Amino acid sequence: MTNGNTDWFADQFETMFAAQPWYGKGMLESLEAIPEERWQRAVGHQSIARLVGHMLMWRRFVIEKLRNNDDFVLQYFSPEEWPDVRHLNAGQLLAELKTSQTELLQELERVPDVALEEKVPSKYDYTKGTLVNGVLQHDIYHLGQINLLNAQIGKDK
Amino acid sequence: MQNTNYFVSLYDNLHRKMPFFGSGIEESLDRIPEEHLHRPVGHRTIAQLLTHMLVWREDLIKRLHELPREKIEINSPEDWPEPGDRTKADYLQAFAETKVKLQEGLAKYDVSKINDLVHPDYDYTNVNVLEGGAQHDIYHLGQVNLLASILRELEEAKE
Repeated sequence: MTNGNTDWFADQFETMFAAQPWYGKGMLESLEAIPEERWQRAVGHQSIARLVGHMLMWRRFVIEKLRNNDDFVLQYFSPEEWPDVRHLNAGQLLAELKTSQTELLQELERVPDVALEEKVPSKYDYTKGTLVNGVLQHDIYHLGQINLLNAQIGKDK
Repeated sequence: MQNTNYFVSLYDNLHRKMPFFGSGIEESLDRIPEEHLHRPVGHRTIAQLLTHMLVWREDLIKRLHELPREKIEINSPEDWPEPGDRTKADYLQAFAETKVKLQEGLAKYDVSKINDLVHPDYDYTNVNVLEGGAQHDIYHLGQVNLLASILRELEEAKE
């Protein structure tokens, strides 16, 4: 396993998704412990469900780009980047997250290492490897926010 | 793995503008008014988060430079020290200095031990620690920016 190859990134995504990564709590151990009533509760403009919906969109983006889907576009701060997920409950969002994890790991298994050096199709100036690493870090960034929101809501009760 | 360039680059990424995950460290701090630094949102302040991040940066620096270090108990006062009256300038300086020390330590890191266990009693390898150090920063930087946005909204609501 070498940093920057597909196995490396698959391992990183698995570590982040599972329990006890070095930096704190993993994705599933965090989300599965959050009571249903906290998911849609807004703190300022943000909610746990909204953050999960946002992460799902960037996960979809990386999956589609690894599949060389040229048509899938995601604009910063657009409604598509921050979809309305108020109609979805915790179980539905968790199921979507698990599906995206499976699809992402399948793509990382399928694509050769050399594909990570290719530019993201077709209007982007960065490589697929940069995108994969970026989405991993994006998950971690928002996971920290989710755990803080959960703690804040829990102490508010 | 032939060198630690990748791990060195993680800190360039953390300190640059508009990294993929959101906002870099200086970029985030620049937007935060001084008076918001120590203002609590629920049980947390931005200063507490920044101080906590620096604790773990210093710990990793000691590991990388093979300096004596003491184990930090999770959720202890050593893990979450009181920030005192540190200013934004203090934090900017501390993050800049620790970035240099981290990158120096990473640059000279012996890659042959990268897959060794950190300690026989733990499942973590040195890779987990090197990667996890930067990820710990990203995790809490997300929280810093969340608190900053909540404080901004509260300020706007007052106007």
